[in-house]
Amino acid sequence: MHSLLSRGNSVLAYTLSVLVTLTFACFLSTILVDYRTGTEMQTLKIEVKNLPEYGVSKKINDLGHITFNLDTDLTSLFNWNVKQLFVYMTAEYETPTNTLNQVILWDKIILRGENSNLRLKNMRTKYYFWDDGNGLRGNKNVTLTLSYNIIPNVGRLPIVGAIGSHTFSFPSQYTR
Amino acid sequence: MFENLSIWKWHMDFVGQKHAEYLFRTIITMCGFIGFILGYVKEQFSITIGLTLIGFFISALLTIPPWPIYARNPLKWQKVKKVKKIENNLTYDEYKEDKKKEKKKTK
Repeated sequence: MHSLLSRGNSVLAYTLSVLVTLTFACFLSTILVDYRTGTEMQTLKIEVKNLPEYGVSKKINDLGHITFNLDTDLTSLFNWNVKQLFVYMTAEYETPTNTLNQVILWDKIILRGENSNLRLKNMRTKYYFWDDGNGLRGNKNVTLTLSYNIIPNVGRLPIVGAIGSHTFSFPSQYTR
Repeated sequence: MFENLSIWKWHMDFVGQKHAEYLFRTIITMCGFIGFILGYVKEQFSITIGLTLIGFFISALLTIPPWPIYARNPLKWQKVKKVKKIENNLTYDEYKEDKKKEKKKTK
Protein backbone atom coordinates (compact mmCIF):
# COMPACT_ATOMS: atom_id res chain seq x y z
CA MET A 1 0.00 0.00 0.00
CA HIS A 2 2.99 2.31 0.21
CA SER A 3 3.47 2.95 -3.49
CA LEU A 4 1.15 3.67 -6.41
CA LEU A 5 1.67 0.30 -8.04
CA SER A 6 1.15 -1.71 -4.89
CA ARG A 7 -2.06 0.19 -4.19
CA GLY A 8 -3.30 -0.48 -7.72
CA ASN A 9 -2.43 -4.12 -7.27
CA SER A 10 -4.38 -4.39 -4.00
CA VAL A 11 -7.49 -2.71 -5.40
CA LEU A 12 -7.49 -4.86 -8.54
CA ALA A 13 -6.83 -8.08 -6.64
CA TYR A 14 -9.59 -7.35 -4.17
CA THR A 15 -12.04 -6.55 -7.00
CA LEU A 16 -11.25 -9.84 -8.67
CA SER A 17 -11.76 -11.72 -5.40
CA VAL A 18 -15.15 -10.07 -4.96
CA LEU A 19 -16.12 -10.91 -8.55
CA VAL A 20 -15.13 -14.55 -8.09
CA THR A 21 -17.15 -14.75 -4.87
CA LEU A 22 -20.21 -13.20 -6.52
CA THR A 23 -19.97 -15.49 -9.52
CA PHE A 24 -19.74 -18.52 -7.27
CA ALA A 25 -22.72 -17.24 -5.28
CA CYS A 26 -24.63 -16.91 -8.56
CA PHE A 27 -23.80 -20.54 -9.35
CA LEU A 28 -24.92 -21.64 -5.88
CA SER A 29 -28.17 -19.70 -6.19
CA THR A 30 -29.26 -21.72 -9.23
CA ILE A 31 -27.84 -25.13 -8.32
CA LEU A 32 -31.18 -26.55 -7.16
CA VAL A 33 -33.40 -25.22 -9.96
CA ASP A 34 -35.50 -27.88 -11.68
CA TYR A 35 -35.26 -27.15 -15.40
CA ARG A 36 -37.84 -29.66 -16.68
CA THR A 37 -40.90 -28.36 -18.51
CA GLY A 38 -43.72 -29.92 -20.43
CA THR A 39 -43.87 -30.19 -24.19
CA GLU A 40 -46.42 -31.35 -26.74
CA MET A 41 -45.55 -32.72 -30.15
CA GLN A 42 -47.59 -34.04 -33.05
CA THR A 43 -46.58 -35.43 -36.39
CA LEU A 44 -48.57 -34.51 -39.49
CA LYS A 45 -47.11 -35.93 -42.68
CA ILE A 46 -45.20 -39.19 -42.32
CA GLU A 47 -43.44 -40.69 -45.32
CA VAL A 48 -40.58 -43.06 -45.80
CA LYS A 49 -38.43 -43.20 -48.92
CA ASN A 50 -35.76 -45.59 -50.07
CA LEU A 51 -32.84 -43.68 -51.54
CA PRO A 52 -29.09 -43.96 -51.89
CA GLU A 53 -27.15 -41.51 -49.74
CA TYR A 54 -24.38 -40.76 -52.21
CA GLY A 55 -22.33 -38.78 -49.72
CA VAL A 56 -21.63 -41.95 -47.78
CA SER A 57 -21.99 -44.88 -50.18
CA LYS A 58 -24.15 -46.21 -52.98
CA LYS A 59 -26.05 -48.37 -50.52
CA ILE A 60 -29.79 -47.71 -50.53
CA ASN A 61 -31.05 -46.56 -47.14
CA ASP A 62 -34.37 -45.52 -45.62
CA LEU A 63 -35.08 -41.80 -45.43
CA GLY A 64 -37.91 -40.67 -43.20
CA HIS A 65 -39.76 -37.50 -44.01
CA ILE A 66 -42.01 -35.97 -41.36
CA THR A 67 -43.57 -32.65 -40.53
CA PHE A 68 -44.44 -31.83 -36.96
CA ASN A 69 -46.10 -29.42 -34.56
CA LEU A 70 -44.25 -28.39 -31.44
CA ASP A 71 -45.82 -26.66 -28.45
CA THR A 72 -43.60 -25.75 -25.56
CA ASP A 73 -43.06 -22.76 -23.33
CA LEU A 74 -39.43 -22.43 -22.26
CA THR A 75 -39.79 -18.93 -20.80
CA SER A 76 -39.69 -20.26 -17.25
CA LEU A 77 -36.23 -21.74 -17.82
CA PHE A 78 -34.52 -18.39 -18.06
CA ASN A 79 -33.11 -17.16 -14.78
CA TRP A 80 -30.12 -14.90 -14.16
CA ASN A 81 -27.72 -17.76 -14.73
CA VAL A 82 -29.01 -18.84 -18.14
CA LYS A 83 -27.41 -17.29 -21.17
CA GLN A 84 -28.92 -19.35 -23.95
CA LEU A 85 -30.72 -22.59 -24.66
CA PHE A 86 -29.87 -25.13 -27.31
CA VAL A 87 -33.14 -26.95 -27.99
CA TYR A 88 -33.11 -30.10 -30.07
CA MET A 89 -35.59 -32.79 -31.06
CA THR A 90 -34.48 -36.39 -31.20
CA ALA A 91 -36.14 -39.41 -32.79
CA GLU A 92 -35.50 -42.68 -30.98
CA TYR A 93 -36.31 -46.09 -32.41
CA GLU A 94 -35.21 -49.69 -32.42
CA THR A 95 -34.21 -51.70 -35.45
CA PRO A 96 -33.23 -55.36 -35.80
CA THR A 97 -29.57 -54.33 -36.17
CA ASN A 98 -29.39 -51.66 -33.42
CA THR A 99 -31.26 -51.61 -30.14
CA LEU A 100 -31.05 -47.82 -29.87
CA ASN A 101 -30.99 -45.35 -32.74
CA GLN A 102 -31.03 -41.63 -32.06
CA VAL A 103 -31.39 -39.10 -34.84
CA ILE A 104 -31.50 -35.37 -34.24
CA LEU A 105 -34.12 -33.93 -36.55
CA TRP A 106 -34.40 -30.30 -35.56
CA ASP A 107 -32.68 -27.80 -33.29
CA LYS A 108 -32.85 -24.16 -32.34
CA ILE A 109 -30.71 -21.75 -30.37
CA ILE A 110 -32.73 -19.45 -28.12
CA LEU A 111 -30.76 -16.51 -26.82
CA ARG A 112 -31.70 -14.66 -23.67
CA GLY A 113 -34.45 -12.13 -24.46
CA GLU A 114 -35.62 -13.90 -27.59
CA ASN A 115 -39.09 -15.39 -27.83
CA SER A 116 -38.91 -18.70 -26.00
CA ASN A 117 -42.58 -19.59 -26.21
CA LEU A 118 -42.45 -22.03 -29.11
CA ARG A 119 -45.70 -22.59 -31.02
CA LEU A 120 -44.48 -24.25 -34.18
CA LYS A 121 -46.97 -25.47 -36.76
CA ASN A 122 -46.29 -27.77 -39.67
CA MET A 123 -42.51 -27.63 -39.32
CA ARG A 124 -40.18 -29.51 -41.60
CA THR A 125 -37.22 -31.26 -40.06
CA LYS A 126 -33.95 -29.37 -40.24
CA TYR A 127 -31.79 -32.47 -40.74
CA TYR A 128 -32.33 -35.61 -42.82
CA PHE A 129 -33.88 -38.56 -41.06
CA TRP A 130 -31.56 -41.23 -42.43
CA ASP A 131 -31.49 -44.73 -41.09
CA ASP A 132 -28.31 -46.74 -41.58
CA GLY A 133 -30.21 -49.54 -43.29
CA ASN A 134 -33.84 -50.30 -43.90
CA GLY A 135 -35.17 -49.98 -40.40
CA LEU A 136 -37.68 -47.19 -40.90
CA ARG A 137 -40.28 -48.75 -43.19
CA GLY A 138 -43.13 -50.08 -41.09
CA ASN A 139 -41.40 -49.16 -37.83
CA LYS A 140 -44.21 -49.01 -35.30
CA ASN A 141 -42.40 -47.32 -32.47
CA VAL A 142 -40.55 -44.12 -33.26
CA THR A 143 -40.46 -41.68 -30.34
CA LEU A 144 -39.85 -37.96 -30.64
CA THR A 145 -38.37 -36.28 -27.56
CA LEU A 146 -37.31 -32.72 -26.91
CA SER A 147 -34.14 -31.94 -24.98
CA TYR A 148 -32.27 -28.78 -24.28
CA ASN A 149 -28.77 -27.90 -23.32
CA ILE A 150 -28.68 -24.99 -20.89
CA ILE A 151 -25.73 -22.66 -21.34
CA PRO A 152 -25.23 -20.75 -18.07
CA ASN A 153 -23.13 -17.77 -17.11
CA VAL A 154 -21.34 -19.95 -14.61
CA GLY A 155 -21.71 -23.56 -13.57
CA ARG A 156 -22.66 -26.83 -15.15
CA LEU A 157 -23.90 -27.34 -18.71
CA PRO A 158 -26.87 -29.63 -18.03
CA ILE A 159 -28.72 -31.45 -20.77
CA VAL A 160 -32.35 -31.70 -19.71
CA GLY A 161 -35.09 -33.72 -21.30
CA ALA A 162 -38.51 -32.12 -21.54
CA ILE A 163 -41.48 -33.96 -20.07
CA GLY A 164 -43.65 -35.44 -22.76
CA SER A 165 -42.94 -37.31 -25.97
CA HIS A 166 -44.72 -38.37 -29.12
CA THR A 167 -44.73 -41.84 -30.62
CA PHE A 168 -45.61 -42.51 -34.23
CA SER A 169 -45.18 -45.27 -36.80
CA PHE A 170 -43.90 -45.17 -40.34
CA PRO A 171 -46.06 -46.51 -43.19
CA SER A 172 -45.20 -49.90 -44.58
CA GLN A 173 -45.03 -48.61 -48.15
CA TYR A 174 -42.26 -46.52 -49.62
CA THR A 175 -43.24 -43.19 -51.12
CA ARG A 176 -41.85 -42.68 -54.62
CA MET B 1 9.91 3.08 -10.71
CA PHE B 2 8.11 6.40 -10.50
CA GLU B 3 10.28 7.77 -7.72
CA ASN B 4 12.61 9.40 -10.23
CA LEU B 5 9.85 11.48 -11.72
CA SER B 6 9.14 13.10 -8.35
CA ILE B 7 6.39 15.44 -9.55
CA TRP B 8 4.13 13.92 -6.94
CA LYS B 9 4.89 12.64 -3.54
CA TRP B 10 3.97 9.02 -4.23
CA HIS B 11 3.91 7.69 -0.70
CA MET B 12 1.16 7.61 1.86
CA ASP B 13 1.92 7.62 5.54
CA PHE B 14 0.95 4.58 7.61
CA VAL B 15 -2.38 5.97 8.85
CA GLY B 16 -3.23 7.01 5.31
CA GLN B 17 -2.49 3.51 4.02
CA LYS B 18 -4.82 2.05 6.64
CA HIS B 19 -7.62 4.44 5.71
CA ALA B 20 -7.13 3.84 1.98
CA GLU B 21 -7.31 0.08 2.39
CA TYR B 22 -10.40 0.29 4.58
CA LEU B 23 -12.03 2.66 2.07
CA PHE B 24 -11.52 0.56 -1.05
CA ARG B 25 -12.53 -2.65 0.69
CA THR B 26 -15.76 -1.07 1.93
CA ILE B 27 -16.65 0.47 -1.44
CA ILE B 28 -16.03 -2.66 -3.51
CA THR B 29 -17.74 -4.97 -1.01
CA MET B 30 -20.81 -2.74 -0.77
CA CYS B 31 -21.05 -2.39 -4.55
CA GLY B 32 -20.74 -6.14 -4.97
CA PHE B 33 -23.36 -6.83 -2.32
CA ILE B 34 -25.87 -4.32 -3.70
CA GLY B 35 -25.13 -5.54 -7.22
CA PHE B 36 -25.82 -9.13 -6.19
CA ILE B 37 -29.21 -8.24 -4.74
CA LEU B 38 -30.13 -6.00 -7.71
CA GLY B 39 -28.99 -8.61 -10.21
CA TYR B 40 -30.96 -11.32 -8.44
CA VAL B 41 -34.12 -9.20 -8.36
CA LYS B 42 -33.78 -8.05 -11.98
CA GLU B 43 -32.59 -11.51 -13.13
CA GLN B 44 -29.59 -9.98 -14.87
CA PHE B 45 -26.13 -11.06 -13.72
CA SER B 46 -24.41 -8.34 -15.76
CA ILE B 47 -25.82 -5.77 -13.30
CA THR B 48 -23.85 -7.49 -10.54
CA ILE B 49 -20.63 -7.47 -12.53
CA GLY B 50 -21.17 -3.91 -13.75
CA LEU B 51 -21.84 -2.49 -10.30
CA THR B 52 -18.76 -4.23 -8.88
CA LEU B 53 -16.65 -2.75 -11.66
CA ILE B 54 -18.11 0.71 -11.00
CA GLY B 55 -17.06 0.21 -7.37
CA PHE B 56 -13.62 -0.72 -8.61
CA PHE B 57 -13.28 2.48 -10.64
CA ILE B 58 -14.55 4.70 -7.82
CA SER B 59 -12.24 3.14 -5.26
CA ALA B 60 -9.33 3.22 -7.70
CA LEU B 61 -9.88 6.94 -8.18
CA LEU B 62 -10.19 7.53 -4.44
CA THR B 63 -7.36 5.39 -3.11
CA ILE B 64 -4.72 4.82 -5.77
CA PRO B 65 -3.50 8.40 -6.29
CA PRO B 66 -1.70 9.72 -3.18
CA TRP B 67 -4.26 12.38 -2.30
CA PRO B 68 -3.13 14.82 0.40
CA ILE B 69 -5.71 13.37 2.85
CA TYR B 70 -3.52 10.31 3.16
CA ALA B 71 -0.47 12.33 4.13
CA ARG B 72 -1.74 14.02 7.29
CA ASN B 73 0.15 11.93 9.80
CA PRO B 74 3.79 12.01 8.82
CA LEU B 75 6.17 9.93 10.91
CA LYS B 76 7.94 11.76 13.70
CA TRP B 77 11.52 10.74 13.24
CA GLN B 78 14.09 11.25 15.97
CA LYS B 79 16.31 14.22 15.47
CA VAL B 80 19.65 13.45 13.94
CA LYS B 81 22.26 13.08 16.70
CA LYS B 82 25.61 14.68 16.28
CA VAL B 83 28.00 11.85 15.52
CA LYS B 84 31.62 11.92 14.65
CA LYS B 85 31.94 12.11 10.93
CA ILE B 86 33.27 8.90 9.50
CA GLU B 87 34.45 8.72 5.93
CA ASN B 88 32.39 5.93 4.45
CA ASN B 89 34.66 4.84 1.69
CA LEU B 90 37.75 4.26 3.78
CA THR B 91 38.93 0.88 4.91
CA TYR B 92 39.89 0.46 8.53
CA ASP B 93 43.60 0.69 7.76
CA GLU B 94 43.18 3.85 5.73
CA TYR B 95 41.13 5.29 8.57
CA LYS B 96 43.93 4.52 11.04
CA GLU B 97 46.48 6.12 8.75
CA ASP B 98 44.37 9.20 8.50
CA LYS B 99 44.22 9.40 12.25
CA LYS B 100 48.00 9.10 12.49
CA LYS B 101 48.37 11.90 9.99
CA GLU B 102 46.04 14.06 12.00
CA LYS B 103 48.05 13.38 15.16
CA LYS B 104 51.27 14.32 13.39
CA LYS B 105 49.72 17.53 12.21
CA THR B 106 48.61 18.47 15.68
CA LYS B 107 52.09 17.77 17.04
